[in-house]
Amino acid sequence: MAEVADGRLTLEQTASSVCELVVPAFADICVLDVVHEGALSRLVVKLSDPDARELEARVRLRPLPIGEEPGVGAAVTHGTSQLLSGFPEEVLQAIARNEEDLALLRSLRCTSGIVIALRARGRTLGALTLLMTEYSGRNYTAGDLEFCEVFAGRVALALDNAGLFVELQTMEAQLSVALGSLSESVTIQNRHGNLIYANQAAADMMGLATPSDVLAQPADKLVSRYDFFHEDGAVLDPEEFPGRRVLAGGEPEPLVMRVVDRESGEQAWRLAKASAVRDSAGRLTMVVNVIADITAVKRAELAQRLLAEAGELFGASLQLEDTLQQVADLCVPQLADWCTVRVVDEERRVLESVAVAHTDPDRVALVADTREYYPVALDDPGALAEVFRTGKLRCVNGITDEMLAATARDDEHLEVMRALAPCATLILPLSAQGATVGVLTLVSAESRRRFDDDDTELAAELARRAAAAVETARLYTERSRIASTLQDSLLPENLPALPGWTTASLYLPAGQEDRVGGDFYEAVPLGDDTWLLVVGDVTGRGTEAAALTAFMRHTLRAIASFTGSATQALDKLNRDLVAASQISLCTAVCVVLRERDAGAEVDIICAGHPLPVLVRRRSPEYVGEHGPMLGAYADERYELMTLPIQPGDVLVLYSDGVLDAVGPEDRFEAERLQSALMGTTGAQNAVERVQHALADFQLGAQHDDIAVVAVERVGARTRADDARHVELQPSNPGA
Amino acid sequence: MTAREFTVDVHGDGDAVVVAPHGELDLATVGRLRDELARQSSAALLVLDLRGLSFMDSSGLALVVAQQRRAEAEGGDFRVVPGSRSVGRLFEVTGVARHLRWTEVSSELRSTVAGEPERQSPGQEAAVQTRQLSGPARE
Repeated sequence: MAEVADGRLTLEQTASSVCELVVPAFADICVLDVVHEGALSRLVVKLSDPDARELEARVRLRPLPIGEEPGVGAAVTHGTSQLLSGFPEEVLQAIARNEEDLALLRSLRCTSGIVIALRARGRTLGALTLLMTEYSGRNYTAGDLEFCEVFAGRVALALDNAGLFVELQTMEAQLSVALGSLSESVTIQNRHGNLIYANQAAADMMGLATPSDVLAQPADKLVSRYDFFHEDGAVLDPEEFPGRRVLAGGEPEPLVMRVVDRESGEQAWRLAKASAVRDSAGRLTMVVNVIADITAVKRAELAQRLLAEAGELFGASLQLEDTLQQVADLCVPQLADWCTVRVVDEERRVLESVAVAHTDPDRVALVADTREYYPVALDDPGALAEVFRTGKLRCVNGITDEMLAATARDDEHLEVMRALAPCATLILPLSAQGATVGVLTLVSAESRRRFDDDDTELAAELARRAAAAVETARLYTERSRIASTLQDSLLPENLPALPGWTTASLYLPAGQEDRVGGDFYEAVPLGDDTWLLVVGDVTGRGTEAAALTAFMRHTLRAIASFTGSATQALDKLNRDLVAASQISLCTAVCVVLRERDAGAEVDIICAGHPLPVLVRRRSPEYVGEHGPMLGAYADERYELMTLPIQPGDVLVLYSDGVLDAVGPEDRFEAERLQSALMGTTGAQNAVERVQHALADFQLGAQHDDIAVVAVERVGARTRADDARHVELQPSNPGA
Repeated sequence: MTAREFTVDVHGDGDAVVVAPHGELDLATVGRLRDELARQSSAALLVLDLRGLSFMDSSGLALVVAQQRRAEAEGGDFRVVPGSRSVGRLFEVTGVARHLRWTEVSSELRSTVAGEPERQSPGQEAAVQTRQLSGPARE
């Protein structure tokens, strides 16, 4: 009975075993009924008479008693035991359900019986019925009843355990299903740290087929396959794992870790949590470890942060080499162990190294001092030059010594490469707006990681932005040079003092994005208090525009001052430009300031240029007539229009950068210029008004150069007045 | 950086081609139009349709002038479909307008007709129908 009672058997098995024990030793018939979900169910019936199989079956199928009926019903209801010394007809009739049942009961030929309630843990589990029949001819005594009661107690326990076992099995099964379906890895260790449970996700995470495989692995092997790192890159000791901390008695916080598989170089991000399971005395019985794979999320977060930081770097400085060095620093260690950046030189012959970064500061010197760092010719057969020429990235995961030997330039180079021990490399072109300006190289060495598609994508995005930064910085350098050249030599810092007139000017070179157009302004003396003021605008790119501008200025100045005629100068300039081999188009507005006895007058000639504005008594009007631009067609004629000028009049000349300035929805246009000049009080005021209106209106980077020249009629200076000093306001340079 | 949505559509075949840029034509985008025009250099009739331009500056102007010079040098027929008023104004202000052949495109380009656009072979579907305009102004 003790064996039966230990609970490993099912309910049915337990019940059968009990009956086997009892029949025929202690009864001719044994019946076990159990309470199951509120109803009685007949579990087992055994008859000692080997020929009574049919009878056995019928007894099994006999309708079960309900409630208070004598026998089983009473036993179950009241939890009692009963000894029946005989089965007279009236008892049989009380028990029987119907005629058929009565016939069955009679045929059993019972002589005496014991019915005992089976009770365990305060509940009635069922009833055990033992019957003697005429088959053996034995009868039960009161002593038998006592024995049976004790026996029944054990049977009840056995059944109870069996029932619990089933419950436990069911629960276990349900838990298994629940844990099995989780995507997080769940493992359970006993208090000695041995794994006693692992779900499928745990197996998947470890690259094993089934949970059994996980349990079969020795604990060390599970860990030694990987390198672990904290979020900040510091090495993570497995002793710091939450599970181990719990085993040591702690209550650790969830831990984010980076895991690198030593063999494959693959890396992943995990979030590990562990909790203790304790018994009622508070002792640790189990540790439950839950580990979630957060690789995708973490990578996205890091990628965003990297790109944002890069973005800030690029926005912060236009010093090219500083920026690229910071980019290289950013890449390490998140993307690689070391990084170099090379940029093509101005003559486009070689790729020069401009930045290098390494996780190990000592190794930076190693890389920088060696051939690894030397310029690479564009026609070099190696991968770097190839990536530059083709604009396609290359990824090599798994660098062998043969590869190193093949690419090393000499023994020293090979030694250095071996010391650096690269195991994977990603070479990316730095391309912006269709042109490749350099190469970014990422190398994995000590960390032994390989580059996967996500790494490549992130690196490519970074390379795109770096390339854009290179272009911008180049442009800035170029434009700074041009702008300063323009400012120094092509643009007068101050317009000369023009007696009788006050001048003011403004020059705003275009913003970062665009090449320099060539705006210029010039004041040419034509003799006898006559001045030629010119604002000119040249189309084309930086240095070409600068050259054209210089040509224009020279020609205008020379011809105008020699002939005293602005129209002749424009004619000559036009013919020369039309004859030039390359299209050289320019526009210019020329204003000749002249003293007459009666006052001043101006000649206005517009050569394809926006009309100047005359502000008289604070009211602006466009003046002049459109004439042909310079350099487009030969045989053009330049007509001048002459206007009398009164003291207080302000004439404003400007380039089309003003009208073309980009605002929120449209361009600045002529109307806004006119509005801005409404109320102008003088030359300086005119220039300031235009500047403020543009500043308020412009959205984003300025696309074209902006030049504004304002000239105000102050008063005449006649020869008679030579001796008298007229207070003249100095002309103001551009802001 | 602002995204510049600039595209160039091309209709027609080797003998008669319509090139239609869309968006803003300035220093940043003029290269693309230049490349496309260069690709169509063998067309006997090349029509530059400016209706799709929201803006044009002197770089676009320079390109038009250059294209016309090339056409004259090589004996090709180069015409321009006027664009918006502001685009047209640039041609007027600079005096380039009167040197160009302005035209309208009234039907889908089908087959080549070099020379006088009004002459059509009977039975042939409509070629480029063009109408000489007095200037670039478009209402």
